[in-house]
Amino acid sequence: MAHAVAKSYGTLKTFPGGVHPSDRKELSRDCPIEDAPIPERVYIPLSQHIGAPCKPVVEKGDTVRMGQVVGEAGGFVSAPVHASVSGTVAGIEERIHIFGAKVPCVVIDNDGRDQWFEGCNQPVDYSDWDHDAIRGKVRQAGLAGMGGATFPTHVKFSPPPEKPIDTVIINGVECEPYLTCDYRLMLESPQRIIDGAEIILRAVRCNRCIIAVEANKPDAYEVMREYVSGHDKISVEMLEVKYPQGAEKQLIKALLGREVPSGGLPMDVGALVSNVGTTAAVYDAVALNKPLIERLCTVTGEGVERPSNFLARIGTPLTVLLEKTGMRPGAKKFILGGPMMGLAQFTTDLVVIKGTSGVLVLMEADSGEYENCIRCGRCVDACPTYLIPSELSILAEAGEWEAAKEKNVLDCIECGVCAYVCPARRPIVHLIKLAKAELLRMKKEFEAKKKAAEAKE
Amino acid sequence: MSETKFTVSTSPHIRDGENIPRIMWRVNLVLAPAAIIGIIFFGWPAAVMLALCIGGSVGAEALIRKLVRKKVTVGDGSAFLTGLLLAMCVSPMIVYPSSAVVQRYTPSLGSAIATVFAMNLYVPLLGAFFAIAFAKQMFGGLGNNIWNPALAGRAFMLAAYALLVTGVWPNIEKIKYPGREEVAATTGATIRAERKKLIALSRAGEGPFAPGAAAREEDAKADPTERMKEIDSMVIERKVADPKVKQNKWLWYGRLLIGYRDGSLGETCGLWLIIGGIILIALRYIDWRIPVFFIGTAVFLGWLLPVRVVGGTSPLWMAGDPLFELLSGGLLLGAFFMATDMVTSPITKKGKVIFGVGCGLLTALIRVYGGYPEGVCYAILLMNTAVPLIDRFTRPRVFGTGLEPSKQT
Repeated sequence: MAHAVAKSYGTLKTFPGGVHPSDRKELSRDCPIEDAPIPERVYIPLSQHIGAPCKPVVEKGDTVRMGQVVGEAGGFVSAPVHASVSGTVAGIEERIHIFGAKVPCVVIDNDGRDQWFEGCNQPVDYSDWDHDAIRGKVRQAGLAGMGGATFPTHVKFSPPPEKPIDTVIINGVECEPYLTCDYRLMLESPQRIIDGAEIILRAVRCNRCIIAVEANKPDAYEVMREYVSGHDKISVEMLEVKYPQGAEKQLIKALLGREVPSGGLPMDVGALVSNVGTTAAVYDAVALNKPLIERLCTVTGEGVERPSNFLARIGTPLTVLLEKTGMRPGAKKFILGGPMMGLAQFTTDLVVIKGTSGVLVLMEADSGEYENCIRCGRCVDACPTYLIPSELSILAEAGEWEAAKEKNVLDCIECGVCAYVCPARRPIVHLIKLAKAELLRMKKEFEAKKKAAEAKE
Repeated sequence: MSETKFTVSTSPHIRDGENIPRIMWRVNLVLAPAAIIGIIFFGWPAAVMLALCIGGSVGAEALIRKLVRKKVTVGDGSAFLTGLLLAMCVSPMIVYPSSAVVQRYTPSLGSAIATVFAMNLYVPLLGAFFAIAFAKQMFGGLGNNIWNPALAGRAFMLAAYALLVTGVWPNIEKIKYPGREEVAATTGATIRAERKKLIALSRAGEGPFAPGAAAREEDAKADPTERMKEIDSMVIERKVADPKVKQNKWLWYGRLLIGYRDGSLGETCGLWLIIGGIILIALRYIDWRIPVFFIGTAVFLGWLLPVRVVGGTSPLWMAGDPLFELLSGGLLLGAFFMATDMVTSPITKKGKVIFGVGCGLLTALIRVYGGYPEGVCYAILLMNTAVPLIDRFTRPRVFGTGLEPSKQT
């Protein structure tokens, strides 16, 4: 159906490679955003983003209010975390994080009054703010990419002078199957996205903005177009339905025809990509002085009885959401994020964090058995990075990390299309991640040795 | 709620449902009609060949996997496919008994064993065993083999039983319908071999072209172009009984297309092989580049390459018959079903073009200048060997590398 819709819009832009999984968005696409239950107790992990973890700035017994900083950024590539309810700090507790290891969390007992920290949640006149002021506010608000990668947003907003941004891309593609919270956001809060986009344009001193929507969301496309009409800097572009259309590098390739250099960042080709959720959060942070204390999260999958799109406070236990939606008995997989790149969890005892775009419960799981690569080449045709994934998986299986590095394993974006199409059901992404982790370990060891040798001299 | 046990694995958590058994069995299914048409044309020896080759392949696979204590993988259909292809690329008449064997047969163990040997029943079994054991499992099974197992099996049989494999072909003219009382083997040659032999005789001025031979004193200094035409019609004259077909060359091409001619099962029904190939391309199990470039190159060079037809004259260019090159021999089977074998062909699109052209070039060279009338088998095997090299030189440019920043606007 999506393709039929796409056809009526003529030739749509896209990137080379990719796959067409069934998008399964029908489970939750018509569920309006609803406020998730606010729990008695929230757990705010001190590490929710890529980069250095936060340092706690509250102690047991402290009274905190909504939007108050409870963890300070641990470096430039880091973002502070805030209290998402008002109440009393019950302590700092180690809890299991989405990557399986334990991280310290600030535990807050909710007093149920939802009192904001002073100055928060009030309209701000930012009309005379310069880009530094905007960046500073975005940093204070603890923004991190909400598409799932959680890269601290203010870092993106700080390109060096020799790398000017000429195009800001607002990513409303949401190419992961099942997930619908970006779609609901575009339908329900288009003005926040557009205002957020304007703020970003000012922050990076850029005059062109493209809002990208995939062709399976024609109504979101129409709504966004309606809201940008008459706007001279912002336009809306519909893209072909294909996974991973929403991956940063593929999106830039599709819209601008530019390739982010190997090992580089979008700013190297003059682009900045911001997810629609992050863009709305930029607006909230700058115009309303609202730090990032809540986010949209789709709870869906065949294993969920009533799929929903929630607005949930950061630190809400996922069990609270699942009680609301119901979970079918015999569910086999519990995933944070989408089915292509999400992280499978062994427990539901986790909380909503800045990057929790979706909670997915599936009734089926792979046996994990796989065969030799039969060199069918399906992964080569699908790879949006033009790698030879089959070969990388074989090298990783043999522990040939250096050889894998020579064959550009570090360029892999882990989108998962190779394993998705593999008829031998090889765990290609797993093996590639393993190779990357080993290469990182080797690099660290090498640097440590070098340091030790230098210290001796 | 945490009572539930969840499977933890790396993403992606969904798959598109394609798997190796489905691919292999579908290819078997697509190829089956050509084999069945072969049985209809050539009778029971074809069925026996198919049974022995397939049984031998599957049996060898099961036996070896058991011996090395690995999962028995006969269910994936790849050993079945090897057997099917092997049966289709050799003469079905290998197992055809001489009438003496039939007459001597008595229902006793000794007689049965003697019959097995007299009918060469062990030859296809050995070929299948070699294909699976040496060309496939010795490398680690499906996916690791360098050469197409069926072609390796054929090459083995050709080397070990040269006379049997190249010398006995079914004679389509003598097969009677509908009972096929007489399935006639011929010690003659396939149409390709016949043509090649005639060209050699013409060049040497021997046989029917000998200066002293009856009714041809006049053409000692024959025009090569005329001689080539003469040879082409002599092939038809010798291989076809029906006078209508002798007069109309298009009927002859039609016969070649549906497979009504002497040859192996895989030369039978080129029409179905083309249809099957298109089905496989549509299913995306094979890439169109390999068959198109293979066939294109082989037919073009088969037509173009200079041949010395008459001794003492200069070689004749552009003298080949393109349709004959296309429809005779194993080109269609090889191009659609064997060169396209996923395991033994290049993985990149550019590599597939090079591979296809290479197969076509070698096929044409062997056909025109080599010692064999047909070159498809060796062309593919040689190009299989070159695959790692092709793959190395046709690596795709990795995203974000090798581009000049200034050119990206």
